[in-house]
Parts: sequence; structure tokens; C-alpha cells
Amino acid sequence: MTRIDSDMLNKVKEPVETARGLPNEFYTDPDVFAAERRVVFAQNWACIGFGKDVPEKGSAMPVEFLGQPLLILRDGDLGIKVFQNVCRHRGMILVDQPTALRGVIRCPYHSWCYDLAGRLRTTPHVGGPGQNLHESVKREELGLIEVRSHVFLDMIWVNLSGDAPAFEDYAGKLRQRWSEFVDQPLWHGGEMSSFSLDVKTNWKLAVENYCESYHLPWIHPGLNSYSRLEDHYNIVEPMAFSGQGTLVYNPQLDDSGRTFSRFSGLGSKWDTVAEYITLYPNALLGVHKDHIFAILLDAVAVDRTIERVEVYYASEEMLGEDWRDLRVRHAEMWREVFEEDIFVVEGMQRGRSAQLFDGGKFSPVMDNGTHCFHDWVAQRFSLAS
Amino acid sequence: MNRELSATRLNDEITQAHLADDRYRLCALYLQAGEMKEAAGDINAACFLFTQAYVYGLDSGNEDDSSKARARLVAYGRDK
Repeated sequence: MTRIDSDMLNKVKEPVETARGLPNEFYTDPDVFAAERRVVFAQNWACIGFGKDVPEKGSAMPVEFLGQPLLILRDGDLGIKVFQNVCRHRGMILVDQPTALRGVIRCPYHSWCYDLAGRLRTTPHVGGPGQNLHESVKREELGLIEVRSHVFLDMIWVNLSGDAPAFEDYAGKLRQRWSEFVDQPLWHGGEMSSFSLDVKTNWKLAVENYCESYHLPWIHPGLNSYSRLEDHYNIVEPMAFSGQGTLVYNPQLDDSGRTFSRFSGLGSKWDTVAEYITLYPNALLGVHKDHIFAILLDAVAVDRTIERVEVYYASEEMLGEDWRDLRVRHAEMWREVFEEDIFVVEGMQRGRSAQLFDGGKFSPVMDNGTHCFHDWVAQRFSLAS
Repeated sequence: MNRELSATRLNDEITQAHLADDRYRLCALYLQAGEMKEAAGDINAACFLFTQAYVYGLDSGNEDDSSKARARLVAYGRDK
């Protein structure tokens, strides 16, 4: 592992006025990236998928996370569980594509079978032909290995190391801030409300760009026409999350003035407020009175990130054919906004090859969210060293 | 003669079901084959076939036939 200079980490953790940003190697060095996967992703909670991907009992979605094969499964009680996607017998991959299981999970190699709760149901011929029992094969000890998981705003989170604080504590302050949203039923908008961007950047630059409104008038002039820079505010919760909010959310999606229905029970604050927050490390969330979006950052390489975007609405009615055109326009609007950010995050990534760049100087007024995130990353490395 | 003919046809049907990857039907066919071996007194062969039926039944959701296969296996001490 590349040695991380503690003086440099301390410089990142200084107050925003004097701090420097994370240095280049955090964006370009494969060794730092490998270390980051352990201390930032595996030892914390990280987002790996969406509940909408496993909509029914028996839905199974294989994912690779930090190089590990995992299986997201909706079990018989309509709960979501995450397992290591390997058979306890010979370590064979169990499920290699999204599947609607009709019964058990059957290993494609020797057909050991697991139920949807991960219990080992049968071990065919394990004691010889036609003999499915053997005293040394104790089924109760050989269920699928479960990974600690939690579902929050339809995002599926895992803690691979198993020793992070309970998710309710990890995300407690955000739950509190967004208490009017977090337990609402969410209705995913369907195929058109789901898209991905493949971006040549380190995942952290996508977070950093998302955490501040400073760039809005320059990069998103369309948004700035009704939501000016001075209508935004910073959101900073040290060691937890950061982002920004707007005071003037007022969507105009078509000439008829139609708007999506509103989440029930929201206070009047949300008539015009919308907030955009990164729950560290890799979930970019946006809440509005009429929809929520979630972006999962899949850090596939030190210089490549897949952004998975999903849009949810407040009522089932919004999924109807009458609303289809508006949903399409809405998703296109967000896609345009997120695509406008690509040249920025790719440009900053290329900029990290400038040898004398020193991590950058923050604006103490506009970059608080970004600094808060850098502080969190630096703290993860300090704790691990 | 009739039994041999029937067994041949059953084998053909099992082969066809494998080719079609029709696991629901494989469960039913292996159960039938197991019952034939059981009737002939070849319990080891029967339990091999009941196991195949049980597994394909669990896999495909053929609950009726997989339950029958499992019951035979449990009765012979081959599963639980």
C-alpha cells in the first residue's frame, strides 16, 4: 500500500480557511485507490444497488462490489438481504445474471440448494448417489454468508467489514433532517427514469461537484435562470454528509403547468425548498416536494466512475400513461444537468496529473461541502493508519 | 416388455426435457422414474432419481412433485 503522509492528511483536516484539498494521488494512484476501497468503502456503509432492482419475492440481482461477488435477494417476507454470491461447497458463483427465482437458489455446479433466506435446503448425493446426508455436512452451519445490509430511500447499503456503526446511527442525522421523506413510499418512474453515465473521473470528484452550488451559474445556466446562486445554501454535517439546498424549487416541465403530485404530509418549508446531499461515501441524493432522485457512484477504477441515476415519485398515479410524457421530459431534464457536469469532473481528473497541483485552495464561503467531504476521507485514512 | 418400453420412453422424455431445460417437467419425470425403480425394488437407484426430482422441483417451484420426492427420500433416510 502506498504510504499516506500524515502531515498531508492533517493539512486536509485543517479549517476550510487554511486547508488544502486531497492531493493528486488520491485521484490517480491505483495503490491509494486500493487502500480507499478498504478504508472508505469496506469499513463503512456503501451503496451497492436499489430495491427497485429486486421488485418481487425471488428477485435476485448479482453485483460486484470491491471485486467481491454479492447477491441482492428479495426474500419471502419481502425483505431485502445481501449474501456473498458463492456456494458453500466449492465456491461456485450461484447467480450470474438478474433472475426471477421460482424456487430455491440452486448452485449450477453440484446443485446444492439454498432457500431465499439463505438456508441450505439440500445437498444432493453428498453422501453418495441418492444419499443427500452426511454427518460431516451440517446444513445448519452452511447457509449462505450474509453481508450486513440496510435499505434507505430504496438504496441498498452494505458494510462488508461488519463492524461499522449501525446504519441508523451512520445515517441518523440525515434521517432526522429528511424525516418527512425517509419513510414515504417511493414509486420508481420506470425504464425512462433510470439511466447511467460512464464518466472518466475518480468517484470523489463527482461527490465534490455535487456538494456545492458554486458552479451552478457557470455550468448550469439553465438552472440559474430561475434558481440563482444567492437562492442556495450550504449543508454541512461533519463526518456524515454535505451538500446544498435551494430556496426556490419551482419546476416547470411543460406549458400546461402540470406538476407531479406531492409527497403527503410535507411541511410548508418544502413548498419551495429542495436539497441535494451526498451521504458518504457514494450516494448522491436529491429530495423535492414531488420527486426524489438517487445516484449511486460505482467506483470501478481510479479514473472511471459509473453514475447510476434513478428517479422516484410520490404516488403510484404518477406512473400512469397520462404522466408518461412528463416523466420522460423530467428524466431528460436531469440527464442534461448531470451531463453538463461531465466535462468538469473529467477536466478535474485530467488536472490531477499536474505534478505541482497542491490539492487546491477552498473558498471558505462556497466550498464548505467539498471540504467537509475531504475531511471525512482524510479522517478515514487517519483512523486506518 | 411393457415396463422396458415405458422406461425407454421415459428416458427419451427426460432427455428432451433436459434439452429444453424444462426443470418443472424434469421433476415430474424423475419422480416417475424413481417410482418405477422403487417398484422394482432398486432403492438406491430410486433414491438417486428421487433426488434429481427433488432438486429440479425445488428449483422450478414444482412443489407437489418435489414434496413427493422428498417424502420418499426422508422415508429411506436419505434426506431430511
